[in-house]
Amino acid sequence: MTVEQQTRFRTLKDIPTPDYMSPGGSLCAGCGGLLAVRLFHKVLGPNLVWVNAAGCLTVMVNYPYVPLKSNWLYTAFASAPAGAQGVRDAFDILIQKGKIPAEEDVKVVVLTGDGGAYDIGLQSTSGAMYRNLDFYYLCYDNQAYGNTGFQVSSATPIGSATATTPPTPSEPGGNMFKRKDLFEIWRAHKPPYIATLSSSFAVDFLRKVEKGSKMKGPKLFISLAGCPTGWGYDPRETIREEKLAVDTGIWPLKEAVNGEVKHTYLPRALKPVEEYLSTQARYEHLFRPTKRTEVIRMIQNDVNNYWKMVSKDENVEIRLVGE
Amino acid sequence: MENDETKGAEVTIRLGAAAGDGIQSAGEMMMKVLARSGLYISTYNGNQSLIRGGHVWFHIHAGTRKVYSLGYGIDFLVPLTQLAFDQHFESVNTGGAVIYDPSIVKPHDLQQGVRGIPVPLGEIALKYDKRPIMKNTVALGALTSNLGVKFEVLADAITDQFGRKNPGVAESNIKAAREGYDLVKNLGAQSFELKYDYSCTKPVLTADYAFALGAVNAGCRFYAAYPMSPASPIVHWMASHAKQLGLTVFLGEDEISVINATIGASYAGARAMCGTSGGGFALMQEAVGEAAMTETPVVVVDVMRAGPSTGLPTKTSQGDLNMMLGISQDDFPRIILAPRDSADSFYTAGRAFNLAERYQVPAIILLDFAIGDGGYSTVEGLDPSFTVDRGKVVSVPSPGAVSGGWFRRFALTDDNISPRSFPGTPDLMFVAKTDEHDEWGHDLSDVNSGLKEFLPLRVKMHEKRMKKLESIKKELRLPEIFGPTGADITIVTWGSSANPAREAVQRLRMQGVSVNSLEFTDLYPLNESEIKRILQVPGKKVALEANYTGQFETLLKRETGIIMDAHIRKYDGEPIYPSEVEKGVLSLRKEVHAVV
Repeated sequence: MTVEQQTRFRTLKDIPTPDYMSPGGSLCAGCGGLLAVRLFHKVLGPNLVWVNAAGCLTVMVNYPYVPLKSNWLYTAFASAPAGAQGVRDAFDILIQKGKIPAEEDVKVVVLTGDGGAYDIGLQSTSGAMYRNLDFYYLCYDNQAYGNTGFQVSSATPIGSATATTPPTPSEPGGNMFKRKDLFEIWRAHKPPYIATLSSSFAVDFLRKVEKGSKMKGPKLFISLAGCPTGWGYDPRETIREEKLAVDTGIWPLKEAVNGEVKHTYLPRALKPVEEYLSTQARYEHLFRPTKRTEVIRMIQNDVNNYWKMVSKDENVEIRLVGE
Repeated sequence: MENDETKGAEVTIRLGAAAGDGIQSAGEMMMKVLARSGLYISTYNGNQSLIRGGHVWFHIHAGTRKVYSLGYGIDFLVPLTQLAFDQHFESVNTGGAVIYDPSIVKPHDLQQGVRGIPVPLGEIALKYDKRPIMKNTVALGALTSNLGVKFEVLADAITDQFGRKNPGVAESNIKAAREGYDLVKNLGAQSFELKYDYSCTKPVLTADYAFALGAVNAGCRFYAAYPMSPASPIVHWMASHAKQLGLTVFLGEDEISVINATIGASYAGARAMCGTSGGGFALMQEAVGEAAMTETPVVVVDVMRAGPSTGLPTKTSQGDLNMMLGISQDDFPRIILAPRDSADSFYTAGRAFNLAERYQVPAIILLDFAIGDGGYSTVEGLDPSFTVDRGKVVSVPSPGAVSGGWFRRFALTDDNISPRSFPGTPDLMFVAKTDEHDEWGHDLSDVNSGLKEFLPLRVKMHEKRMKKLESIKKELRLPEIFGPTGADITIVTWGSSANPAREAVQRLRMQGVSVNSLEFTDLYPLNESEIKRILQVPGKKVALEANYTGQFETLLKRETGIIMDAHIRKYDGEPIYPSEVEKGVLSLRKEVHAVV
């Protein structure tokens, strides 16, 4: 069976109409994280419990502007997957005892930002994967601690300015550490399903969540989350920014089924990273007052090297930039 | 001592709007205007962690005499939304004014004696931009005019705010402000004039920034943090100046990493500090015990916010004292300091480092949201002269200090402080053991614990650490009296609760009430005998603090046996207002125990 036959999502028209998030919440206009949560919810349906650790989306749940139509549990910052473990175990026990009919079961979804996923909560996620917990993890990755004023996280890309890695005369490039490869860290635990997502590729997004939902065990997703406030672009451009991230090869769309990696979108020719970087204020120091070609080249090289490997592994031709 | 300070005029201003309307930058510009007109300043930032839509406000108290807190009521209210009007209009003083845009705000129920000054803020703002985002600068123009301050001072503040980004933005903001200024001037509505001195700019700082400056001034070379409001301004400042100051800023993956890195840096010889708020400190606790056991000096600053848990992320509290008194497990010495304001914070940072290193103990500093993040106050110059005292650091072994290749790092000494060396010093190798250990750092645990010849050694090592408290308490600052001695009523404060008490004391004394306040900044260890002497006053004592259980009041009772006659406790997340202190004191005067 081909993917097309397995999925109920073929075109944008197949995006389910029911929405489990009401409009009018208190997040920033153009929040890419919110878009990801909406799409995710559409696939999984209404019966779920969000288990959330501190982050931007924590601020979404503010009475009376709570946009949710599902349950929500806050946990301490470091331990959302542990919280999910408790919820899942309790439901299993209740179902086993016949206190809840099996058809009333809920899906347990951990929802954190990149700070919660890459940094403080990594250990807890590792434990949940080790125990083969049947849960979903949705990380909306806006590549910094957005809620507290955009401080650097280990998901912040090289070259990005943040509140704690400001470009200064002695450190003009902004953040000089490379992002962690969370996809690969997760993959080392061999969960049944991992995928990267972007709302700008909505059909791909929905299909992946659908595919994961058919499996038992940990199902983990990292969604790029365009952040107009932190990245510095016009809120209406979130989809365009995310699409550029994919088209430049900065944000690869891929999945790993039982550890086997496959890219779900293979650009035939990458766009230069400069096209993406130059649209965001967090990279402004790479262009003004003087252009920092060495940093831009470093970013481009990283992207090129990544796709060279993909070309080899998946046996496809991808035109790189400047090579 | 406050006699000369009670004279002089003052003004209170509150700007209110929705988050995203730029009220904080407007507030900061107004604060600059008044500070550059020679006034003393104290502000409060009533913000939300919501990114847009929440109600926010900025409060400024300014005066020709020293101001300490938020003052009484509001003289000028500038509500940019109806909600801002509804929330605050009841606090406007008689003789005060409300500057508002009649197309946005309906100023219903204005009290008698309060003037409404309608200014078409939105309409004017639209002349200079497609969206009415400059209405706050127009409002600042109107306000500045009403206060009788020269327009040039506002124009400079606007240039400071926007000029660096884009000169065009500054220019149109100045034009918009000018229209608001002239409009009010032509109305002849000027109602308020203080004695301005444009030649005398008063520097203003928040306690967070002052603390960061003080730490760096005192030789801090390593600062570690993880994002948490309201402590983040410290790391933002440290990170932007790190290279310039020769400072290493470490951003860990959580608070456990943050404090352990700090302990590591201190162990290896750097003056090291980390910062967080209560929730983050909760994660650090185990490591503070580790620092105490290995006698590694460490300084931790906790900028308190209302809890428990994530609580009220952008609201204030003095609720973390109990946590600091009970950090981690079992007994170990610690120092807890709570500066009152910005200037105090600057000097406290230095004292904390010297004390921590001299006694090889953890030193905790308690700031809070009210003075830390956005709470600006005037500092009358900061004295940078400071002597770094690193305590008993040795680089050459003394006789008997080395045996079998090991340094007697935890030697029992007369003053209970052992010589300390840094790793890499020839001959002075030691293990920094978190298990109980002997003078050489060899463990008493696991193998020897419980054996009768080792029992006395455990007792000695434990006592050596604990006895440091006796020496520390003699060095800490005793509480200071504000106002004349021998009053009928004494308000007992700690940390930032000193500020509203001062203003209440000043005003109550003008009403003929015999009252003073006693300000604690050094909370632990307490020098019982001295404090008992100081608090042996014939008048009534009332404790003032921002938490539910009276954490300091309880500490005072526990350590000295002194029982307060009454208390004023506040825990709604808002700063303590002088009027609340006044009310509490007046009701005490009627022999009623007051709870606000």
